[in-house]
Amino acid sequence: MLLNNYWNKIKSSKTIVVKVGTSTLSYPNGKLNFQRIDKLAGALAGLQKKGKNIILVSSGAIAVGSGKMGLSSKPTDIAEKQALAAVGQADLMKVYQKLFESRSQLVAQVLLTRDIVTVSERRNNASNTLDALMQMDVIPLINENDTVATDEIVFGDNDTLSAYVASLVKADLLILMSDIDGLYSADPKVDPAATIIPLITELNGKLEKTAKGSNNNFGTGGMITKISAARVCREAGIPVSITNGENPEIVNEIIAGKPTGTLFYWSKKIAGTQTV
Amino acid sequence: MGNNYKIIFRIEIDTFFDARGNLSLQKMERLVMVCTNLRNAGFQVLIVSSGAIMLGTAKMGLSEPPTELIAKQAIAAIGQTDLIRYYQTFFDSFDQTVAQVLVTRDVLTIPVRNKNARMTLNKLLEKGIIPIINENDSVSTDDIILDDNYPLTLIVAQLVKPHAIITKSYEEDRFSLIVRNNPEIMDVAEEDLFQLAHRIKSAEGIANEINFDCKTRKPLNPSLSGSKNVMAEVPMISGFPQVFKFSKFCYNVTK
Repeated sequence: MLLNNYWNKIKSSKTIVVKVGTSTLSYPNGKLNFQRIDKLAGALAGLQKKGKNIILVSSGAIAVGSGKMGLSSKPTDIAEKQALAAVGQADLMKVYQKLFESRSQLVAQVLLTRDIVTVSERRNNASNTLDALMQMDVIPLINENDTVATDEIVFGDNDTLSAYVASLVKADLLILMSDIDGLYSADPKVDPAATIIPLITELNGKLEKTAKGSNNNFGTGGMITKISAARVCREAGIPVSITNGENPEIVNEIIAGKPTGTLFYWSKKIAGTQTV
Repeated sequence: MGNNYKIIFRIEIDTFFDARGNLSLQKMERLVMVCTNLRNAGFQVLIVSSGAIMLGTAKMGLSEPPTELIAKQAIAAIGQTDLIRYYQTFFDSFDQTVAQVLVTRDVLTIPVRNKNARMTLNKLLEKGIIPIINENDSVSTDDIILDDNYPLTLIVAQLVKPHAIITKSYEEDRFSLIVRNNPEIMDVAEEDLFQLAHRIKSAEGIANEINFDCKTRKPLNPSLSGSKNVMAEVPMISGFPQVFKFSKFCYNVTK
């Protein structure tokens, strides 16, 4: 099948989980990049108006908290990180709310912990709340509840969380916005012949080796967590798009089925397995 | 002056509503000023605030909160963003940094959660930040039905071991104050809150001398309980009464 044929199938996606990382939302000093968040809010509100169900998983709380408290470098102490996350999350929500509401789009904050994967009551509650919000035409803004969860904050990138959320709401597409254009065949900083892999239909060891070997050079989130997210989505049969969040309006091109970055499209749903 | 005494400010959002049922931003701003002032006087301040459901209900243009649990959780997720935005905007105007902390009841039962929540709250207090705490309604079903945030206040009390709990009353500029290990609700005016350190100190002196009759739950020494004492019959948790009903309908109970 041609690349375009895979992307054509993306066009009909109804429920779409979008994940943005800290590097997309903020400048290196931790201060927010308002113009970029504004574009993101505009694009997502626009898609929601067109009848899509958008869910935004957003990182950035710790960076914003550090910026607010005037810290020049990222804290390493866990209690410190959690405290800054609690400060920054409030700020981040305020900004999102302002920018979405200026487009008459309501948002809601949902903070999750990893037990949505393991504890059925939590999973049901989270799933019910998200479904209810989507029915009310409200965009849920999701982050990890850093205050009570250290395991996530240490390994934490929201890539995996967003994949679990996608499974939870039976999404049609997960978009991971990163600070590089997609998954490369090799580390582009080392190997000038490295190219973006436009389509991946199966996960294999070689891919993970490529991702692992170049973890530190492939943007702050790293490609390893992207592959982990892809693995979660593979079990649920959900396609994953990795793209550069530099221009958040790129989501419009993705939904229009224009080949962009890297697309994971699973040839078939794995029978009998369920992730969430 | 505050001697780093820890205080939990318990706020039920409907104390900020006026007679016509509208949120009074002036009332809210006034309370934010009082909290900041206590912080400036050297107290460590935490806020336990309800309000997410009420603000979410208003935002969605509903005349009253939904009764169904799932709808309530969704409304809470919508309203929490407004709640924290109001607090943050007002506290910012007094140069006071705040943080949002959403907890579930399992902070008391899951050791790692307990440790994390305690560490986070204490770290925030250490930095002079006021944590604004609410229940994480979208994943928790525990207290959302109760419409009462005193149980959550006690959970927080067990985490941070405060010296006192202050509740904003429905009456203008009045507060009720409970000092740890002193089973008396004091009805105090705003300016009297600043005598708090003195009250805490004198309560500490007598704390160890209070002995409860395990059957009647009343203090064995009646001289310690004044005429205002309405809480002596109830069991204590972390030095605070287990039950504290306080509504506009029974406000006069404390007088």
